[in-house]
Amino acid sequence: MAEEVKDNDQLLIEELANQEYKYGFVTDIEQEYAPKGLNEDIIRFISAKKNEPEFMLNWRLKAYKFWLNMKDPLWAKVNFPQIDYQDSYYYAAPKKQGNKQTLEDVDPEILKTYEKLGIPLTEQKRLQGIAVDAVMDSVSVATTFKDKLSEMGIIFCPISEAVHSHPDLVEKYLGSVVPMTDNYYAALNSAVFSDGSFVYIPKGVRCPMELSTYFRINAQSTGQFERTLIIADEGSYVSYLEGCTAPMRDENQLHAAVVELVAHKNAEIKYSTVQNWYPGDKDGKGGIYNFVTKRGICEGDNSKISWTQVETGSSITWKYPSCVLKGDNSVGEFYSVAMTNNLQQADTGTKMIHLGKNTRSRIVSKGISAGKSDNSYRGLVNITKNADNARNFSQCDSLLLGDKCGAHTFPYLEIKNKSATVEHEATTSKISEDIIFYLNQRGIATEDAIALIVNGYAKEVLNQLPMEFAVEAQKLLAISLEGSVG
Amino acid sequence: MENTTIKYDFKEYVKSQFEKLQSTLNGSVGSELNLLRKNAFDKFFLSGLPTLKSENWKYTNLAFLNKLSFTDSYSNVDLSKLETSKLFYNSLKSHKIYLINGKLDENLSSNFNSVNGLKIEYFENISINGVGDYANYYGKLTSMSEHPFANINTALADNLLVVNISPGVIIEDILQIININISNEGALLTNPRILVISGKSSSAKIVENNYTLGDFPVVRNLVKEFYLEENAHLNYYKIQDDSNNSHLFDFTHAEQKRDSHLDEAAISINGKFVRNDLRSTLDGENIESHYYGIFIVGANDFVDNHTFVDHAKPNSYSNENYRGVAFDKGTGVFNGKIMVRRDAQKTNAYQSNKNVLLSDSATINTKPELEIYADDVKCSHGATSGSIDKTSMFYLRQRGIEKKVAERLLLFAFVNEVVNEIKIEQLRELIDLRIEEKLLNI
Repeated sequence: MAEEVKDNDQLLIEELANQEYKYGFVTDIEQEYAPKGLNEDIIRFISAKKNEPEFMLNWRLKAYKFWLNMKDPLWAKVNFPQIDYQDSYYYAAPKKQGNKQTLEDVDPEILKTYEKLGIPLTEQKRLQGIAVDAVMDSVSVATTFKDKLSEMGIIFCPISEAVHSHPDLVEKYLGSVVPMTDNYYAALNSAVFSDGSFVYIPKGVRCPMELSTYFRINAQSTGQFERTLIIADEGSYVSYLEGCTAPMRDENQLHAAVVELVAHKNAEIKYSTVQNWYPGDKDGKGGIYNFVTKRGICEGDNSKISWTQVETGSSITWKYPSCVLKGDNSVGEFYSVAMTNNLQQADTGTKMIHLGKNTRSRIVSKGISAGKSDNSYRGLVNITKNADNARNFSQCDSLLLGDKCGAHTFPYLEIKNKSATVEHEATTSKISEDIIFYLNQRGIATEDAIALIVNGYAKEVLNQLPMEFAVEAQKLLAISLEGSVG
Repeated sequence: MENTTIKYDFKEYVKSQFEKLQSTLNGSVGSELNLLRKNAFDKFFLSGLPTLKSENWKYTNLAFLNKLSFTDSYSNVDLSKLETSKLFYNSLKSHKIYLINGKLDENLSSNFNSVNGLKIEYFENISINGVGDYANYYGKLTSMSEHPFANINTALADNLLVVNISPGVIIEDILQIININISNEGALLTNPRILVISGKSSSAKIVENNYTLGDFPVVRNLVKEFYLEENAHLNYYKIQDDSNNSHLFDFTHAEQKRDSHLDEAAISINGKFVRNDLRSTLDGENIESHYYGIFIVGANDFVDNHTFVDHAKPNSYSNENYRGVAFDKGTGVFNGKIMVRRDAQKTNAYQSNKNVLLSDSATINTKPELEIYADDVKCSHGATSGSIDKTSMFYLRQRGIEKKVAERLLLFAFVNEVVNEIKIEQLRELIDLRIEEKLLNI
């Protein structure tokens, strides 16, 4: 009987492998490019294009100089050929932009693209109260609900706009959490980043709606380098969502983003990501290299930063959303579901740096590997000498679907304070045949049984997502999971 | 005169030792064994001493090696003054083998002719004389790994101790290997080398002790290779309870064939610096492997346990249990890795590392890793670090037990769970005595 099940599974796996990436279309619009390659002139070009003040250009050039002297990090458990950084466009933008005061000014083709992606930008049609900043390639094409938010003093705009409208805030906070010298990709991003979102929540304000950025790579041979900066002032709260897709292409495109979060006293930031970049085809051809630096600092006492991520896309993921717990009693959280299939590689995890007293962190990571993929959790819990009564709990589970994939765990625990309590647990297993048999017996088809089990497995993380996102994430997992049982 | 610490170059010292050995060779320069040594030396010399940037040495500072002025002439050791009865673990009822500065001392060692099925063989000047029938075993496992200290040992070790347990033989008596270093003339680097072959369906228990006698620091770079044939049973307990000027690099690699069973323990009670590298290749089905370790590290001392369990074939079981206590300025490191290869279906592999940190100047770094390529497996690891449980403390204090005593009691119980896995009662008692003594420093 087991044999029979396996045959069935084999078929289902093949079916899955042949499944098309839903968002792989290309929008046919006129694009404007910077010349191919990377040098100081390109950086000047980007800066000039954005009409940036002097300090930004200098900052970029400084980052570029650092980058030139840095080496790619090779420690992650991923393999890919050396990237030729000269063979890519560092700036691409839809040509027809106009001024984006109203949505009528936005190219209808672009609106259609986002409609197709399920992100309606026309506010009157919207039922959910989510404000969206839509970024296509190097520029932000539309931001919704801006006026309503600004009534409360909330700033939600493309970072290219914030550079002009709030240069003081940008200058103060940009690079304060992820310095330009932090790592290779962060330095590259600092030099060439073109757009992204900027959020400022003033003192004591609870943001009334979810803020969201939707990233879309459209142009060919481009890299996307966006930069997100979120500042939550004293006693404020914001929940922020991020989604992303890209067309299907045979080439690998680089996405090197930087996200910085700053939470002041009593503030809370909740950052959720559903990452669905094009993962490449079943032979591992094409796909996005997702090399992202995300870090938040709990600057003030009693602040909280929570990262939730559902990673299903990208051919390679290299991403470690981290929390620096500087304020006393601050809290850091990391919830992650990472699913890899075919020849995808993911090396993802978090860093929790405990500096303040009574700081707490919690890590829940659920890896799911299928096909011939490799999925690694890599995390650091660092309790420094003065972090009295720090508390950490980490749980890293891996689920293997199929016998050609790999699941790996690399946790680092560094403890220098005697009052710390640190716990780490990790397990690796497959879906047991007994459970499937149990569900089969009750008339549930194998495929549905697996979906049920995996959903239960990932529930702890999915529960952390805002509702609309949770639904999308569940669907994404289901698509990626159908039939891939071992 | 200015009082500065003189810097020495450890790498150059190894080179000079290697060249000195090579110059004595005459005809046998091209022998297979010598090629192995040359190869190992080249590998070490090319990459040099590992730095903190190297992933496997991230938490292990080796700067002390460049602060020691090593002496070569340690041959004039007066053994008549050695009172072996004063060595703490010598009361253990066992057959004893003495290695003095890496060389077998036949006068002190027991007579093994009386033990049926046990062959103790010793090879001197192996670069000239070779290792006889053991050429197929010697260096086979160490050359698989790019371990700098295993390479140093292969390049420099000139003597070999072989413990060969014949197939089908069950040795009830305990075998004790006693490494003694005497450093009366200057800092000492020794490279003892041990080969254990457990024949098919044999069984043996080996205890290893290390002693540093003398006033100068000792760096003992010990390398062991274990071969467990089908259905062999081996219990190997290394007791690392040495003087305060001892530095130990222990590299142990075991290869296990089907149905074999290995119990390995590293009990680190005292010593300035301990680095254990335990590797094991489970090359067959239905293998059982247990690895135990405790460390109690205080003062400015350092204990580092690196383990690598490689499941290459299906249906095997491995279990690691390490516990550590760090106090004062002590540093404890645990880096355990479980690898389950593609074919190793139905593997069960477990790992647990628990630590207690007693001071803010002490450090615990732990990194339990899983690298898994087979789906039908059950693997888990757990790592914790914390302080002494407050409710247990309260319970004891309530009953009128002094704070320090209560602390010691709880810590003793904490490490004892691992000590209890040792299958030799008398050894457990000796270890317990020493742990109690060590805990008095807390």
